[in-house]
Amino acid sequence: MHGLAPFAVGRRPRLVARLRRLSPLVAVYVVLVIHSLLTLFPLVWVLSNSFRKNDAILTSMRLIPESLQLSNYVEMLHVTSIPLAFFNSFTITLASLALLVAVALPLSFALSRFRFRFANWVFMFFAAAVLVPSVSVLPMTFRLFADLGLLGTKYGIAFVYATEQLPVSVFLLVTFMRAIPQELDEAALIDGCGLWDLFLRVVVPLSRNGIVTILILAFVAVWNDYLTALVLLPDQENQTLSLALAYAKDEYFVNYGMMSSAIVFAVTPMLIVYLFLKDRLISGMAAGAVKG
Amino acid sequence: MGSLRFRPGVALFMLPAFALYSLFFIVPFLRTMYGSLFDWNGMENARFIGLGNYAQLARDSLFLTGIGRVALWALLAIIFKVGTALVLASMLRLPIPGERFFTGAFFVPVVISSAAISLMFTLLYDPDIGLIDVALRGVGLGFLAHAWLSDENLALYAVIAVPIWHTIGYFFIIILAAVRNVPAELYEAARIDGAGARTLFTRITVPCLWPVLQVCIILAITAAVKSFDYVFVMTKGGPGTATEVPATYLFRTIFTNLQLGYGTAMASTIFLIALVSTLAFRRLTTFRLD
Repeated sequence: MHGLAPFAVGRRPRLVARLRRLSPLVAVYVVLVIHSLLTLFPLVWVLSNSFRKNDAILTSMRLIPESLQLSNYVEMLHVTSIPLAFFNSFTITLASLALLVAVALPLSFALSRFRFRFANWVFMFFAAAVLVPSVSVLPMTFRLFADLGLLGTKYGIAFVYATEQLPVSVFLLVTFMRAIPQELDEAALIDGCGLWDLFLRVVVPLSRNGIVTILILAFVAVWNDYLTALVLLPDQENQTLSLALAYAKDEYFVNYGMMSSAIVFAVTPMLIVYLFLKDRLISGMAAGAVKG
Repeated sequence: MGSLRFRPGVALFMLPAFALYSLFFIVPFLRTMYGSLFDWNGMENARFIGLGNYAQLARDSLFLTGIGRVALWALLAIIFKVGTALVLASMLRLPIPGERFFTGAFFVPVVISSAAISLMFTLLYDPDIGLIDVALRGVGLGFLAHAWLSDENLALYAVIAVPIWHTIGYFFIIILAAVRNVPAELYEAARIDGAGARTLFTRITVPCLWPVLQVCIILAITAAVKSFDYVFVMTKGGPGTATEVPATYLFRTIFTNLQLGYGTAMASTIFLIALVSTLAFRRLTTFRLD
């Protein structure tokens, strides 16, 4: 018995010290886990309800559905305009991204490779839009659309989406293109390569990473937009996903299961993109924020 | 900027962007400013009234209340959104097991559209089936359960909570990248001098991150000033006008009441508020730290 005493005495402070050293880490994990649950619970709850009928949803709350019935999805695809809206979102986003790249690349090329007096002014001119909330401009864009006969067309909105994404895209592309060694251009021009060749064969291929970044950023922004579409796409057959979701809410809200399936259907493509491009998407969006 | 000599052909590379941007941003922007000087219902009979719309706006209690609401919105967003993001990011400054899971999980809502999030929260806030009320009743706090979005006193707070939840992950990622750029020697030196976790946070993390926190706070303020989606999808400004904010009021004024002159004056004012609050915040807080 006596032999144990020094052992116990010697061990006790060490245990306390270890706990004290560990406890901040425990607190850190508690906070991180709680925040993860707060973030993921609502999403899991919606996913679960998308497989349950109203009578089940009204009687109990479940994070794991009783069974994997797809009847809500079938109903949603038949009753609501969400499948058509999904297709519209897809084609409109594609058109906007194509237009954005077509105008942002040459501009960034001119601004990043050439020395001229007004370069900074041009840059500021294009950056100005960052300061103006789109809600402030959209009513007059609506008038403009009416004047140009673009109202009621499906793809007119692509002009506006490309314009909205232009400032941040140019910021990022110019930064990116400046990092490409300039000696390359001079060598190319001396070899008799024209401006157009320099742009298309040298600068654009070397900017691939920057292009992917602005495409990801613009894809998220355009696919998720609500306000611009609300103003500029008044016709139901041209509705995008965000509009169709809001519309379905006003029409069918009490069909909780079907509403949940509509949400899941609408957000799944984005979540898949996120799953595959997580690191790129995160770093791209962080860069976009700090530049913007 | 670049090193190559300018030649006329270069202008052609700027032309498409210039045309697009001028037509679809500069023109509507100038028309907004110009239109705000008229009494105008969208038809022919526009009447020049100078700053009359702005004078009316200064007495419009609904608009002024709306500005008060977005000020509250901005304040709560700074405290809870930027605050939470800062705490989470500083907890993950050093890599710990599970770090990739946490980072991934926190960012998930950011990639979802505001319309889908708003719809989801309308379900969550539902008094009959909503996760929040069901959970409150489940743990014996049933007296706290409410019809969150249809209670005049709570609806505004219920709405404001949604964008906070939605975009914490965005701010978290921005701050995390900055936190990890703070030189580790700073922390080690301070720790050797006997600084505790709290001192490290207030004396090293926050000052080193200030430029990034400034960006985050400005983003939070401007997001609040132009907030539209969440309100419009969840409550349409209701119940009554309990959640009406300047942007939704502007939308109604122009597209429902067809008061284009008055509406564009609102649009210009929202722009000016966003601009002035951004510049003022940057000026004030940068000055103090220099």
